[in-house]
Amino acid sequence: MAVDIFKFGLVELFILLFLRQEDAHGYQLVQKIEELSGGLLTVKTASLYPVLYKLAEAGCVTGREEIVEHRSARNGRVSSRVRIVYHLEEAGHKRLEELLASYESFIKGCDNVFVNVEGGKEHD
Amino acid sequence: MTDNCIRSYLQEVESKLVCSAKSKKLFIKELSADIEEFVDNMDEISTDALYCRFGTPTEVADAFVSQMRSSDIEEKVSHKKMVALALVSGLVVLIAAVAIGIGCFKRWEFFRHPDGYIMETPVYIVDEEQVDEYFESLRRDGARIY
Repeated sequence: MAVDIFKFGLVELFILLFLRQEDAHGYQLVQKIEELSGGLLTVKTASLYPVLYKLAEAGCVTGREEIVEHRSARNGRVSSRVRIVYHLEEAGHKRLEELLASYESFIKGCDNVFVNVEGGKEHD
Repeated sequence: MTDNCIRSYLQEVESKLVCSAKSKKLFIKELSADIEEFVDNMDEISTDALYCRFGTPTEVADAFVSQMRSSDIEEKVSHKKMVALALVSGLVVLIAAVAIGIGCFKRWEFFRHPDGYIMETPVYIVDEEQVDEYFESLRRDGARIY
């Protein structure tokens, strides 16, 4: 069962991380999170968009409308639709560095807690 | 799943969202495109698949609102309060205006003829030959003629 990354406050970090690689629209970001985590992580689009809008307001990302063509797997028809494709801005790169540093501290902190607790258990 | 199902799903989500009109419009536009893309990638489509992927309309609205800044939600709620207050105030002003208008009209009617009321008496012109017939018709209608 996939774990919702929203519970761990990782949505913003993952959005910025993926946008650093390439521009993407919201649904692509959701698909990437699932694909690159091997299906272990997921996020609902409804949790993702407000974070994107906040990042856009803060100037970390910008959105541009693009017409995206898509071939339907069901009937093979090619349809086009307007999508908002997000791009990482300079402020977004800075924000990502901050979040990565926080995440590193968080992981180290968790590790320390687990090691100490588990070490304590072994000591007992 | 028909387009109607998707439309009603989006309408339900929209009705449950508590946020600014701008955010709501943008989110519904993006969610609509996401659903279209999802539907295109499916061989067989069902409402359950839609709920599983995006959540029920309530879940979608809850997830969206939980990520909104509290100031945005407060702004929306206070906007709703302002609209309600404006409507109630407007209604009170309208009722007061009508009451004052009726009062003014009655006073104007009263002072229009300071020396008394004018009695308007209708005058009917009837041919001499038809006078009897006219009085008879009045009697039939219940008029008392002296």
